[in-house]
Amino acid sequence: MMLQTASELDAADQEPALPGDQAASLSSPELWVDRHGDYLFDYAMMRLRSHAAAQDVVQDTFLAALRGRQTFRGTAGERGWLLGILKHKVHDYFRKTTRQPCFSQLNLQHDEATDEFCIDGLHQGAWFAPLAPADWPAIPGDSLDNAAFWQVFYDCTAKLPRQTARAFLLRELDELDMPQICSLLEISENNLWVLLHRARLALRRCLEKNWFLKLNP
Amino acid sequence: MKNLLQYAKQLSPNCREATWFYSRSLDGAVPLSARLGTRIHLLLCKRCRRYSRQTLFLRAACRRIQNSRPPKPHFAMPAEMRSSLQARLRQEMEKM
Repeated sequence: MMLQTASELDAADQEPALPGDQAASLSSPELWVDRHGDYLFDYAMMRLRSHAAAQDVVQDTFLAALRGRQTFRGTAGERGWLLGILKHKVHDYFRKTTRQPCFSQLNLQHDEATDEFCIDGLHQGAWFAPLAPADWPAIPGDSLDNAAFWQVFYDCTAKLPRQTARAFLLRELDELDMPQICSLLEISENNLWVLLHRARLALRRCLEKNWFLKLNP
Repeated sequence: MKNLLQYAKQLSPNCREATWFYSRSLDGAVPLSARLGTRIHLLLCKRCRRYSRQTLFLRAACRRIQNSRPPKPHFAMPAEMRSSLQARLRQEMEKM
């Protein structure tokens, strides 16, 4: 009895109760944009960093969902189902654009390319002192509850070169495994390691400069 | 002989190499000698220890976005986009 109540509560928490006799029914497509539009758009923006591109993939998602309504099984809920479609659309977009050159970012890449490590001399390969990791607050996790932190986090990922950002987001946000990312971005595994390492170095540095060092100056 | 030299080098990485191997270890297997060398280096090097902690923090932060409970970055769909999407959906439904 107790168990049943708990699972009912759980279900109610995840998905607003849908009108209709079956739990697994879809709401009318006219309601999709209002119910899930912001969520899907946010998901796409986090990965594509462009309004136009995000709009395209979200629109494609809704249209594909409309045409494929019969495939809805209800296991993941309406939003989970739409999100699954969107995920594929984003990956398709990566695949489509991975060979296109991206001129606007060439300069930026160059500006941010100062090496963190000493190139020669006695300390070759050691951290270049001004760019070495500083001490972050004991519990950096506190920042995760701060909306301002997330703005900085987003701005920092947006500054990464396109391919580097994609590699990082596919790995850490989407948790794809290495071979999947390699084939999506059409790069070798070694190349991917380089991109991931670069992304981590750059993000670390950007968050430190724009967030953690500003917390306690 | 060449191999031996390579092992010796991997056993005593500098910061550039240690951070590289540390990052790689988050995404897959790293040769034993490099793993050992990196571990020793981290014991001795405060800056690289920070790097490793901060890298793990990046991963934790991303996991957090995934489980998207607010607050997190929020991009609300612009109003024009919303109405044009709705119009497009309605148009598509009429065709069906």
